[in-house]
Amino acid sequence: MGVSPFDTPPVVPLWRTALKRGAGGSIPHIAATARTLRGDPAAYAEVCGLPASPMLPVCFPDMLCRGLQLAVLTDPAFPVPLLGIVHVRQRIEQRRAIAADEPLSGHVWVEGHRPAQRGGELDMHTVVSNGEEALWHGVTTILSRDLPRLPEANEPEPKREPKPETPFQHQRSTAWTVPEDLGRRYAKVSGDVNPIHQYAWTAKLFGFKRAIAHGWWTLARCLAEMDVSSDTWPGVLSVDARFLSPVSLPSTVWFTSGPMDDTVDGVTGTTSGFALRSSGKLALTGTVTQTIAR
Amino acid sequence: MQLPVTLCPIPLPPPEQQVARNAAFAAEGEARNRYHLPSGLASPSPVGYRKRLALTQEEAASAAALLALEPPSAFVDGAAPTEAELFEEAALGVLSARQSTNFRGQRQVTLGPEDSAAIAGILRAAGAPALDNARYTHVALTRPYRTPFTFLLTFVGHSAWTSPFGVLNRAWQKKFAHADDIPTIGYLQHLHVGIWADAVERAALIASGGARRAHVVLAPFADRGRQPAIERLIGLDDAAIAEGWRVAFVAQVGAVAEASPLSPELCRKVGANLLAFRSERIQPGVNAEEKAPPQYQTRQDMDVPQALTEMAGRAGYNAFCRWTGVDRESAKRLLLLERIDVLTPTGKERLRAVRSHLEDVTDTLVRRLPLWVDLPTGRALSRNALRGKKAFALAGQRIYVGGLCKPEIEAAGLSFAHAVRAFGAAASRSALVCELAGCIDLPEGCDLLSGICLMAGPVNQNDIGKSFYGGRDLLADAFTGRDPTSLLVWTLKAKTVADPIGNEEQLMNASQKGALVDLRPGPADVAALRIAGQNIPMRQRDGRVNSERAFADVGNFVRDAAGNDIPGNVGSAWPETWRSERPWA
Repeated sequence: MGVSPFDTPPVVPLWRTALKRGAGGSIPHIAATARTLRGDPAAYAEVCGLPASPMLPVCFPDMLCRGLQLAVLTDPAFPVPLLGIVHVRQRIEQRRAIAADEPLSGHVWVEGHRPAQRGGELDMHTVVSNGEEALWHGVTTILSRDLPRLPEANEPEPKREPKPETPFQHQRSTAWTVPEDLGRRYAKVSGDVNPIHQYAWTAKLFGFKRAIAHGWWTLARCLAEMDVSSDTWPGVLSVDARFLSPVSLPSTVWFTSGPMDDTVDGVTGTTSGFALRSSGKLALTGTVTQTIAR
Repeated sequence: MQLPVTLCPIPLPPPEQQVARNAAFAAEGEARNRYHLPSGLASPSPVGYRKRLALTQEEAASAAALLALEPPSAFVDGAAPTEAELFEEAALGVLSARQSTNFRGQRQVTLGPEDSAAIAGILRAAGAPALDNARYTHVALTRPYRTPFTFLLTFVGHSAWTSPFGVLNRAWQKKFAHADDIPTIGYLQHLHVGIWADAVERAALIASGGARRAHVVLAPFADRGRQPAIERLIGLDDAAIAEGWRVAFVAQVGAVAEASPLSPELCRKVGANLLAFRSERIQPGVNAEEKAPPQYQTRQDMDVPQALTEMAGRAGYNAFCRWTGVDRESAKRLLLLERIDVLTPTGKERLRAVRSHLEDVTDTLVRRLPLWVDLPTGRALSRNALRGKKAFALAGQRIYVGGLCKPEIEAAGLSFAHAVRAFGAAASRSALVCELAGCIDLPEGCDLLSGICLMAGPVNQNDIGKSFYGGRDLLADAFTGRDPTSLLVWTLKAKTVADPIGNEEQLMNASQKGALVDLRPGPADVAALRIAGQNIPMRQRDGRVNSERAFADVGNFVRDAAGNDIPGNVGSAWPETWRSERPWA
C-alpha cells in the first residue's frame, strides 16, 4: 500500500511501461496524487472534434491525470504486466462543469481485482478535485489475462450469440472517417505514445493488422458527435461506456445515438444511448446521463 | 410581370392503385439490388434519402408564392445570420438546386456585411442593380460543364480517316480553351446557373423562415468573362481562373420589411420537401424493367391535370420574365415550348417520332465511333452511348420540350447566354409546380402524386445529330421557319410510387458513379465563407466535416416498413456551439 505524492503528474517514459513485469498476486492499494494539473484543452478539443470552450471537455480530466495513472500502473507493487492489458469499460461522473482555468488536483488509485470471463478485471479510479470537492470521478476498467479468470471460464469460450441491437431510437445516425494519422495526432496532445496507436508497422509488432484508435479518443469523439459537453450541460453528467473491439486506422465508422428514457432514478434528466460500429462490429457502446442534481 | 400560380391537387387513382415504393433492406444472404434500401449512407451531403411530406391545400396555396417571387426592393436592418441558417440556405441552393448539382461545375463564396457593401459598389459601378444593407452576399462561381458524357463526346463526330487528329484537337481545345464539342453542352453550364439562381431566391426565404430575401444579380455575368474586382474580393486564384471558373451571379441577402408569404413552420416543411424531390424517370406500367416489383408494373389511372400543366407553363413564363425583364407577351413569344400530351393520339404519335429520331442519332453515333478508341476499351464507349436510349425514352403524361431561337433572342436585345440561363430557371420553376402539387393531400401509402424528370440528355443527343450528322432540331417541326435551339425536356408524371431508391443511391453514394445530378458533395466541397480575408470551407472544422442533414427536424427520412433507419441517413447535428455562431457578427 502506498501513495506517491507529486506536485504535477510525472512523465513516465515508454520503456518503463513496456518493461513493466508483474509478480502476480492480488493488487494492493496503490495511489498517486498531484497538487496541480495542467493541460492544453484547446489542442485536445481540436483533435477530438469538439468546439473550443472555456469549460473542460468531459473526457479531458482523465488526460490531465495520465502521468499519475502510469505512475500507479508502473509502481513496483503493481503485480500485472502492462503489455496486453485492455481498456474494456469506462465510467465517468462529472459533478458539474469544470472551467478550464480552475485550479485542479488529481488522485489516482487501484486496489483489488475481480475474475472475469477472459481474465481478471481491475478498476483504476481517477478523481479530479478543486481542493474542496471532487468534481470528476472516472473509473477505468482494465482487463488483464495475467489475472485469474472466472473458474468456469477456463472451459473453451462458447460460440457468442450475436449482440442485440442497441436499444434506442436513432436521433443521430452518421458515419465518419477516422484518418490514418489520428493516433499520432492524439499522441501529441495526450502523451500516450503506445505503438499500437501510431503506425501500422508499429502496431504489427504487437499483433495488430493496423494501428488502432485510442479508446479515449473514440469515446471523446462519440461524445462530441452527441454534442455532449460541459457547455451544453452544466449539471451532473454520467458516462458509461464499453469498449468491445478496436477501431482500425484508417477506417469509416458508423455512429448512432438517441434517447433512452426521461427519468433517472426518479430524478429529472435524460439518458442517451450511443453505439459505434467499425468493420461491421460494435466497437463502443454506452450511455450518457444528464441530471439536474442527485 | 409575374402572375400568381395556383397549385392544383392531383386526383387520386383507385384505392387499389395507391401504392408506394415500400423498399426494404436486403435480407441476409439476399443479393441487394436497386429496389432494396441502401445499406448505409456515409456522406457529408445535407440531403440524404428523404421522402415527400403532405401539404394541405392551404399550405400549397401559400407555398405557391415561391413560384412568382418578385425580388426585394430594399433591405432593412435585421439579425445577422447564424451558421445554421447559412448551411440550410446552401443546402437548398448550391448543394441541391435541381439539375444544378454538378459540384464539379459550381461553387459559392459568401461575403460578410463589409465585403457585401464593397461588392454592391462594384455592381453599381458596372451599371448593375444593387441594394444597400445586405447582411451577406453569395458570389456564385461556375465553370464549363465536364462529365464522363462530355469526355465521350470528344470521340464523336470525326471522319474515319482523320479521327486521331480530330480527337486530339478537340481534347486540346476543351482543356485549354474551354471549348465545347456541341453547342448545347456549352449551354448546359448556363442552364445550371439559371436553375441555381432561381433556387437561391427561394432558399434565402425558406432558410430564414421568411425573414430574409435574396436579390440576385444575374444579367451582367453571362457574357462578360472575367470580373477582376469581384475575383479579388473573393480570393479567386490563378489556378481556378485557368480551370475556367468565372463569376456566375451575385446574390445579395438581407432582411426585408414585407411579410413572408410562408410561415416559419411552412418554410421548414417546404425546405424538407425540396430536399426530397428527385427526378422521376419511371412511369408505372410503361417503362419499368421486368424485374421491378409489382407496384412498378401496373399502369395507374391518373393524369397530370390540364390546369396544372398550364400552371407549369405559367410558372415558366414567370421565371423567364423575372430573369430577362421582358414583358409577358414577349416571354410567350421568345420561350419556345412544345407540349406533348402523351395520352392523346397526336401526342402518342409525336412522342414516337421524337423517340425514333433520338434512337437514330444514337445508332449513327455508335456506328461512327472510331474503332481505335472503342475496341481497346472493350466497347465501353459504344455501350455507354446505347444505354442512353433508355434514358431518352421520355415517359410521362405531359412532356414539355423547350428552347429558344437565337436570332429572335438577339433581336429582342438579349444576350443569348443570359437567355439560356433564364430558360434554365423557367424550366426548373415550371417543373417545381408539378412537384409541389404532387404533395397536396398526399395520402398515407403513396410516395407522391406527381413528379417530373428534367433532362438535357435528349437535346444533347439531338444536338449531336444536328452538329455532326445533318439532323434537325427537336423543335423544328413545332416551330417551323424559326431556327429553334432546343435546350431542355421535362416530363410531367402523375403516379404514386417513387422511382427505385437505387436511382437515388447513384446520386449520393460516393462509390457509385453518377454522371449528371450529384448530391454527394458536402458544404465544405462547394461553399466557403469569406472571413477576415480567408475563404473558410463551410462545415469543415477540427477534423470534422458536416454530417447534418438540412431540415432534419422535419424528419422526412426514408425508413423501412418497421421504421428502421438507413444507417447514417438521419445524420447528426453539427455542434450547437458552432451552429449558433454568427460568422460576421
